[in-house]
Amino acid sequence: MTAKRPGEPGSGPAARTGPRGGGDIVEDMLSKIRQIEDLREIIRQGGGPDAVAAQRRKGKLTARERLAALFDPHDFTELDVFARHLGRDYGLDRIDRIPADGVIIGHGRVGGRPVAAFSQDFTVLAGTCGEMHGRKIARIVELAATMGCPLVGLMDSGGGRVSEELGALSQYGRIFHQQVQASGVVPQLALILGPVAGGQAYSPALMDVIFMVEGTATMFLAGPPLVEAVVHEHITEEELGGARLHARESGTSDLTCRDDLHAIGEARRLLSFLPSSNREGGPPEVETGDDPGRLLEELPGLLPVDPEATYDMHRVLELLLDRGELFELKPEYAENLITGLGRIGGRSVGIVASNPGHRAGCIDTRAAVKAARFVRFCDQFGIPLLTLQDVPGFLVGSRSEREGIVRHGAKMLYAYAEATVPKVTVVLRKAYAGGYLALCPKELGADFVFGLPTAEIGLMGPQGAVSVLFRKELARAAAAGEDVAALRDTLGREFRDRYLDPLYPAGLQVVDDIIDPRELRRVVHRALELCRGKRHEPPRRKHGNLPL
Amino acid sequence: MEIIRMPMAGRIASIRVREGQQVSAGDTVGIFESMKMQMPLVAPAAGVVSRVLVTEGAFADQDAPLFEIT
Repeated sequence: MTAKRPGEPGSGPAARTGPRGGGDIVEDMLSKIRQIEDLREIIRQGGGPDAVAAQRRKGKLTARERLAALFDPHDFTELDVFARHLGRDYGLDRIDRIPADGVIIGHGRVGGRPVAAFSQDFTVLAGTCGEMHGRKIARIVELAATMGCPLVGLMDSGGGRVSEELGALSQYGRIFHQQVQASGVVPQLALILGPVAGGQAYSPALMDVIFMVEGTATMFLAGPPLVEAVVHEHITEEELGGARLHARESGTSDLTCRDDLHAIGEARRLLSFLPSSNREGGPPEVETGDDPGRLLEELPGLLPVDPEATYDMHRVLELLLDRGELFELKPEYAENLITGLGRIGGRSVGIVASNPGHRAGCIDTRAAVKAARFVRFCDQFGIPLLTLQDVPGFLVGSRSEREGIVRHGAKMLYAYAEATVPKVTVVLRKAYAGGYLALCPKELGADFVFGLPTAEIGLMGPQGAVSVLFRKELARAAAAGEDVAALRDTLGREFRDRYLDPLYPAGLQVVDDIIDPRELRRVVHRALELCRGKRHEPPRRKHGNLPL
Repeated sequence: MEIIRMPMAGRIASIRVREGQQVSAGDTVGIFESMKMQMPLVAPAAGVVSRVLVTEGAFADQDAPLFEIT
């Protein structure tokens, strides 16, 4: 058999002719294997040394290095490595082979559990998406959903391959469709490690979680040249769609990372909190070596008695969670409300916590949408929800109303009421009005609500209540020249003693118990343990109408 | 020049710096009240307070300029 260039037509089985002995057949097979392996090796070189060097100069790893870092050592199985591009116009017919058509797909294990991934190769035609490229991504998304394993997308692409026209555009649509089919079935993580431009930007947006690398990642529908031409806006890529913008302003990104390895390491860590799919019925259990009965000796000192004083809820979570570990999502967006994953007794819990240190811990439009999305993220994968309340209410005022606080706040109420996972709520201090209702009280389906001795649950705070209840008395006192401030103080104290004492809601089954803060971890763990048996079937329907 | 702006609509409860005063990054330059809470106004960078644009007890809208640090 004559040696042929790998991949050349005529090198297939049909080329074999004539009778041969057994030794020849073995030799044929070995030769064929060598040809295939030679070709595989060529494809693995991606865009070649110059393109790889350019990739490195930007501080980026190659597509294959990223996969090696994502998966357990030597544990990646590639699929469709020999897939070839389909476009035949604008010079594509003269290119024999675009290595892997610019995207590597496959599966392996992360922390011993199966995970599927695609990794776009910017060294190959700038990682542009042609028809086969898109088909490969759609295939791996579908495979992940079918097999029930998480999907990680490592994104680094110049956008649609213009020379493949509708071939590229249609595949974006197919990817979106597959991603929506996979939504709620398997976790989907987008790691944006370079540009994600044009229609492709909707691919990460349809996934569960987005990480972006500062300085290299960008995500926008149209880049600076098109923006300048269409809306005459002169702007840099970073300002238009960099990691910082999406983490702080648009709220599209969940985490800003320093570099590729940081992003990939965080993806591995996040996966450790999540089940492989919704079929597992809940999150995995990890041996954290942290006693669930551990007393929180420092907690009483952290909580100010003065209801107007601030503190950092992150400190409370550090004490409460196993080894103090919280995987916070959207830490730079709506800082007045913390969302993230932690563990208590080795099992993941989704944390939603007011943060009185920012914007009074109120619920504004951003916080409401952030919370609603996180609650639904946890609910789809059976992750119990632990809600920590210290909330003065929804943000009032004309700006808030114009932003649509009623509509967006409704998303949060809806998400909590809809969630069927175990729901445990703790009222640390303030729990006023709509803020109380939006943060998972019994009335919205909490399985357990506990109050600390400092809990104040009510329709409104004492100042507001006194203004409404004693409007006439206050006006009379003012007209008579009496000390109105002193009267307000007295009436406010009476109101607080009567209604804002935790014994009042405890007497009405609104809270299940008033607990010593030092016992908080043990009490929450006991409640979550009982919740393991929870069954709550939602009513039969196609789907509800989340107030989008 | 850095401008410290009002994080959310509320009342200026106290002002803790004078014009011309040196501040470090993270210093509390004032306290504001909103939604039944008192929260600090923090200098984002070191410098000199070149202008104080509000008075104690005044209400300020979100994003209103409060202090200039140069």
